[in-house]
Amino acid sequence: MMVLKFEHVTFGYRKDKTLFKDLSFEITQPVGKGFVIGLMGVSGSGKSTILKLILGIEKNYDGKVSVTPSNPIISYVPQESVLFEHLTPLENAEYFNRISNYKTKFNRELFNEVAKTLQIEDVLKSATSVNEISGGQRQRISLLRAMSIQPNILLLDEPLTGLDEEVKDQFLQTLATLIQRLSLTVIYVTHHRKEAEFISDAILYLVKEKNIEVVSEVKQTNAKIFFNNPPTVSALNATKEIRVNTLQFKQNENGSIEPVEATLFSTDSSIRLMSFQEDTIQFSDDSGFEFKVAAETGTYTLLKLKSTQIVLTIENELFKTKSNLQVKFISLSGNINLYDNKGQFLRATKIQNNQIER
Amino acid sequence: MTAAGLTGFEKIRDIILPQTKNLFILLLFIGFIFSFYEDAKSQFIFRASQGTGTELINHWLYRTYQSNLLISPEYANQSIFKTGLIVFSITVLLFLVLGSLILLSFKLFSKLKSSSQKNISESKGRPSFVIATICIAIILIPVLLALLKSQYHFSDNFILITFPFAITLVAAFAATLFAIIFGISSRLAFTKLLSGFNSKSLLYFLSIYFLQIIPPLCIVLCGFKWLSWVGYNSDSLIYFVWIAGHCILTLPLLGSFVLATHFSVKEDELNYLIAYRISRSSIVNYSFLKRFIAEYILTLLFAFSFIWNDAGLNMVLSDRIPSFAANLQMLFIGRAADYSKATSFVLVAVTLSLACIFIWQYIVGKATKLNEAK
Repeated sequence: MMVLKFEHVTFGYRKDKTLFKDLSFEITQPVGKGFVIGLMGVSGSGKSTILKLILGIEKNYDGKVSVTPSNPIISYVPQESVLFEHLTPLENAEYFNRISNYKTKFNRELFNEVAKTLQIEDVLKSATSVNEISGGQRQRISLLRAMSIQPNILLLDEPLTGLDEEVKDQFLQTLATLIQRLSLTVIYVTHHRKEAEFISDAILYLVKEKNIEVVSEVKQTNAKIFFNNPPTVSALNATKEIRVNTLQFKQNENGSIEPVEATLFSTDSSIRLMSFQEDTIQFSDDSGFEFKVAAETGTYTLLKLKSTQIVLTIENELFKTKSNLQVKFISLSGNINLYDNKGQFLRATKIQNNQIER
Repeated sequence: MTAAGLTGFEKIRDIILPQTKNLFILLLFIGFIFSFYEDAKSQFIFRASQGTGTELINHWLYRTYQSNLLISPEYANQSIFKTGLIVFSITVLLFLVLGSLILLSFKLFSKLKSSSQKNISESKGRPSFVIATICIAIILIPVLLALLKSQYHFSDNFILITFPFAITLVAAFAATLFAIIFGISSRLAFTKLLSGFNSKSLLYFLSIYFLQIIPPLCIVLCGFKWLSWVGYNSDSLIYFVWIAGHCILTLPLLGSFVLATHFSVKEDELNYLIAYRISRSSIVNYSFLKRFIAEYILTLLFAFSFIWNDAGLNMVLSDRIPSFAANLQMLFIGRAADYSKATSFVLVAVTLSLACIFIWQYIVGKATKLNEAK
């Protein structure tokens, strides 16, 4: 069982600019099976820095970063594959077989097996330069190199950046297969919901709210729960699809809601935020929030609530099916997630005709 | 308005200036530093005099100032101010004419390039290669003509060239090694700072070039006493001093070239190797030495060329160490002046330039492929 611990870690690239303050978390791999933790967070929250601290690239920090059992073999696949242009694809993939520190760890059998799984045997056999192969092939070589030393922990830093959708899917499927077969502990940095949802068992979310420079808290939860009920509004915004709408509101005494324009995070504790899918949006010609169509794209219609800047998004087809020329009002009925004025997840609940269930 | 929708001024302000600002500052500083040497060099090489027709504008200004001083200092100052102003105006005018010609040829070249249907990868770098080769050929024509006319025999003068060539080669190897060690250790020590050419790394480059200003300052402060300090009379030591001197004097140019070459070793790559705890020797071997063989050979040729053509240190120590500059001077203005022999020295310099162009072409081709792959 592999355990990775961050204990009260404080770190900044500059002395006057702290990135992590007293950050603590623990990643534990279940016995006998591969485990992927998706490391997510908004831009600048320090996702890649977490990897640098684990790898020892950044050493000037307070606190403790530890891995049990000690001295594991850690492999790392960066965002942009590091390949040497003066070496052939095969020489690049077998790079660790040339390095004295890693020669004994290089596993030829595993190398051949992974090369076969990644379907890059032909690329390796051809003597072409790495400059002439595609981005997907470069990244596969990078992964093959990382796997060739049979790592205990695999760190992947946005490995699918720059690849087209088809290659991404193939790569993720192959990666998932390899992780399970080799029982690897993987930390997968991404800001793409689709990737994280597909590959991750759990999500480690670095909480960095707007206007706050320091990260001192993480949210760690099962991947399915994370995506269904994002733990904070920033997590919701970082992972939401276009079909997920958000609305800030005040609740009246009778339970009905009143949309408000406010900037998170408000000091007014009566202001809350809800998120909901587009199918929660209903239309009426006599009651609800008055709206007008602000714009229409090829796929979506943007609905602007009257006298506000609040815009809700709905798919064109759904809008046409649910509404007619007479409708002037929006009402909300369906499943919602509720957040408090500090952006923290409160509960998943339902709304019916703009009234939240208690 | 231009096709891109920007006026000429906006284009300069928003596109050209931000891209060239740092390079402009560096070149200005290099120009300033090297101006310390240029006058000395031209004096050494040409022994400028009105009679031999080898007087340059700076020599003329200096000579007229000296002779005007005999009349009166006030007159000399007034006169140098007036003539200096005229010379400055002519220089600016010449720069403008030259700049316009370059812009014109660039526009013409761009038109030709856009009209040609050639593959981009084929055309990249080729015109400059052709232009450079033509330039070298033009330089070679009079040299070869002079050699043919005088029925020059290389074998007769082989010894004359052998020793300067050999000692220059040794110094070039030492200077290249010094520059490579400096370049690699700088890149490894400052992974972030030296990952590209920007306002921060500019300071690093400027500080290297500042080294060039030390010898003239030392000479100003100490005179030629330094010759006795470094052991001018010791046979073995003087060679060491000569080589060490060239290593230091060529470091700014060679070091900058090596540093700029090492920009292609990205910060991410170094972090990647550090993350895997790859030993320093392996990093040096795989990320630098094996990767930049062509660039290092070019550096060696640069080093050889700088040392071969140097007219500063070589002339100062010419009594003890024969060099190209000293021999060339003797062959031009010495008692046994022989222009045909002198051309054989020039041939070495020209051959060096040709070799540099071919290697440069190879490096450009390699970089083009890499960029296309990305």
